[in-house]
Amino acid sequence: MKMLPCLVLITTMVQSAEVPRTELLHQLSQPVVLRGNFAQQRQIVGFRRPVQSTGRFVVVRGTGLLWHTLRPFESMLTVNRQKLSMSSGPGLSNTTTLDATKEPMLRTLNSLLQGMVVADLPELQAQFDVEVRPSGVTDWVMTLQPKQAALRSRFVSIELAGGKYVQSVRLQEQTGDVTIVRFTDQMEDDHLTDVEVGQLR
Amino acid sequence: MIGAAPQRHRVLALAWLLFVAVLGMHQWYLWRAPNFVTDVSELLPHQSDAVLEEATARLLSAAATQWVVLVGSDDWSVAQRAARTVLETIDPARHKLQSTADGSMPEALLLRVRAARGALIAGASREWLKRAPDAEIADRALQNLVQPVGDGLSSWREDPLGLLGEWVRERAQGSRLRPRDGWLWLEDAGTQWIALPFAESASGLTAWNAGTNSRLLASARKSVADKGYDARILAAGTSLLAEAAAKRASLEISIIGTGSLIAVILLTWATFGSLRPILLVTLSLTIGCAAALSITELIFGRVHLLTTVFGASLIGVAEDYGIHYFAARQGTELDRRWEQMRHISPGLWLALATSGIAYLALGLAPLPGLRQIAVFSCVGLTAAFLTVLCWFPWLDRKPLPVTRFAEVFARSLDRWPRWSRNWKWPVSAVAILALLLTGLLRLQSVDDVRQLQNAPPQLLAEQLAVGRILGLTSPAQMFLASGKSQESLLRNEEALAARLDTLVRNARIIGYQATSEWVPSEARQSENSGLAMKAQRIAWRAMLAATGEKIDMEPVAPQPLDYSAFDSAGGGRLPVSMWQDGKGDYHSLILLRGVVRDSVEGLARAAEGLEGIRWVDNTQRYSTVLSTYRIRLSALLVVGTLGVMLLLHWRYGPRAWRAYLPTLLGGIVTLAVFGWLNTPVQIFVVLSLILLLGMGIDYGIFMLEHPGERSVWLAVAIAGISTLLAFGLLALSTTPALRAFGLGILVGETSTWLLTPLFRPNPPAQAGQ
Repeated sequence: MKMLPCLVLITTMVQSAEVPRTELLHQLSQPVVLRGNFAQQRQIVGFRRPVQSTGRFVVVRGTGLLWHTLRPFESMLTVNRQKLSMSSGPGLSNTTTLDATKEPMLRTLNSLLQGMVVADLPELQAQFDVEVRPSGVTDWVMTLQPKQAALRSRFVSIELAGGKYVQSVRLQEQTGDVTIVRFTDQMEDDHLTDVEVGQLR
Repeated sequence: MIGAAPQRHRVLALAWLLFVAVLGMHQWYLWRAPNFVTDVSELLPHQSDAVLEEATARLLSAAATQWVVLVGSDDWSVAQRAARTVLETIDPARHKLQSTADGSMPEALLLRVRAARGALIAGASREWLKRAPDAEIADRALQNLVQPVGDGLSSWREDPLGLLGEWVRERAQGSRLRPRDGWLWLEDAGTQWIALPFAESASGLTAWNAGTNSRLLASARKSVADKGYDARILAAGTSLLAEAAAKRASLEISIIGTGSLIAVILLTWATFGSLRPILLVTLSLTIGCAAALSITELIFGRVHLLTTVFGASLIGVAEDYGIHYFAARQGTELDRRWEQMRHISPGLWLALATSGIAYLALGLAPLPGLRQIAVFSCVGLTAAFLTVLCWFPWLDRKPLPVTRFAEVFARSLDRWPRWSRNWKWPVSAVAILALLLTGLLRLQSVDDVRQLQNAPPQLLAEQLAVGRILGLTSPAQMFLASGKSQESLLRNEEALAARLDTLVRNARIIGYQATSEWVPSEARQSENSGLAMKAQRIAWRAMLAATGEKIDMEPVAPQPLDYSAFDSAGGGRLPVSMWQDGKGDYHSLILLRGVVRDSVEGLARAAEGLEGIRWVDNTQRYSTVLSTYRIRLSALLVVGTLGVMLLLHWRYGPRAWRAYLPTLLGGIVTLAVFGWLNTPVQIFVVLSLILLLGMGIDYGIFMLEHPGERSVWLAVAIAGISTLLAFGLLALSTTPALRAFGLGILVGETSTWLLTPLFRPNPPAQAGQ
């Protein structure tokens, strides 16, 4: 009989450890639409210097992401619930599209890409175990662990850091590649332009 | 009184007692662990081809233990709650749930596949690489360079175009299921489905009396409905079909068995007004059925459920001998019973012989199921007959007075019309034959193996729906690929795959599953490597131009994937396989998705002119076998009829026609009825006619053996009624084949039974009775 309170205590402890400490995220802004610039450094195995790219992003909470790379060459990554598509070449004419209902990993990847730019907790928690802790440099640091076993080995670590907005994302993949993205010049908005609506469709 | 029994009888009775004792022991052993088979395919002829046999066995053994439940709703959260309820009911401990069907690859295989990067290229990527201009290849490679994440399988330098990722994704298309929130999920026409695949440890095919899964499934459906979830539940699997078949079969056995038994008891009671005939006739039936079951089990190892369903109708036939004995005994002195037995036994022997020959003729068909039925019936009849012959005079020790019912019944023979040579009879005969001809002209035939299937339509509909939603491969149509070596097998497969790709593009089929998709031939892998390395150089040069980054530009040659490495890395979770036969040749199956009736012809043509590729259409093949044997058995029926006619002429001379004409006419009436009902004639109708030949003639024989004896008429009448009941009940069976068989016997026996007294000879003299 004495066991019971003990068990209850243990289970509550276990549960509280699983819940991310969201109070740390209290100052995180949650706009419907967020625009901004990104600077990406990708350290690829076999490369002496990281591949640098910069561009603009638009993220619509719970809907999708436009990742428009402008330098060193133009490329557009579009992510929404149904698909992930990549366009490049002259006038972004060369497009590859992946269907989320057919690709086993794509749902997780889409959630990651959409969620990481604005630290969208519901979006991320659907696919990842999320842990938040305080940090000296930024206000908070968030680490993500894929829920899907098959994906766990794919990422060595995923880390987001920020305050009001996400300031940086660090992705380390099993292949040895490491991506660091920094976000700047964030601007909140409540609607998309017609062009963006068309691109996200 | 017993002293009147001849010495020979005493020996016979004791010998039979010994047999029954041994039988009892075997029965006790048999019923401790009943082992009945329900699988329809076991009734079908064995493959004449060992390779095909092996292929079918592999396919069946994989499917036998698995079943799946689909839970679907428009609302994902409702689907999840309903699925949780289903799982809690069916498999709370999650021992049976299989969660690996999500299209992902085993880790060990992924590792091996990475080393073969470049040699494994998806079909669409190959086409693209062959035709794409260098600039397009460069664009795509650069695009990959600046994505926030790679495909998780390769770093950019190793695979700038993500070819391996494409290949892995293509392999994942083998399953439509995807992981979502810890479930296996798929979306189909707006419905969110959760798949719960279960695997049983023991084969579902032999666990016939368990029915556990069907019960669990029913209560899961109920809990989901009780909780008010708006969810659809579909279930499919060989084991569920087997359970349903077993349930139906046992129901039918009890209906047919109990029905015939009650009929026999009631008729016996009405006729003889005493408990003794009932007990003794039941005894002969019990021994007959037990012997039938034991001997069948000893010969075949396992008894098929359909055999026992059919066997239950034996009750209506095997009771004839006992009834004949008591009909002859009724109203005579007790002391004369040995004499009576001698008096009726030649007729009984002849009747047993014709019935036995007819049943054995059933066994000539190459269907193992029919052989069982033939053996079962012959043994059952013989054992019942021997019980009557050896034991009845011993056990029957009290006088048997004539009852009023028997008196009235026996007298009815006197009023029965009799064929005579006046003008009315031939005229009406011609009219009736003309009428029958209208039926005969409408006769059609059908040879469909599905006639043997007795699963409930609802269950079959669910199987189809689940197969369509999950995109499962067809178990009935496939290609068999063969080759002297693994390499030649894979090349043969690839030649076929090129043709199948065209059919997929033209939407004739949805897709296919071949070993060579996973392990391409060496030739294909080296061609792929060439394409990949060329593309790699284009990508590297473009990258250098765009970023100025100088990387090691020495290409790494892929390490080709071979079948044995693939097989061992797969850890038993692979959807494809190949095997080696005794002669050292290799074989594999190419399975198809989305086969419809219209696509079969195109598929069959796809194999034409290809080396080592065979089109296998099991439905068609079995139907061809059934058709061949329907024709052969029809010929056998004609030969058998002639044989029986000769036999009867040998014993009865010019009077023989009186014995066989009723049966011939009965057969014609049966065929005419099938014509009128627009029910096509199939092999089982021919079989019913063969049986009719064996049993219908019995009546004629008894009437000829003992002309004018009312007791014989009484026996014939009662035997006829109980036989009709037994087979009439068989016509209620849910198995189409058994139903057709029952209907054939029902119509044939009724008309034969009604016609027989019409052709009875004039009594020798009015003096006798």
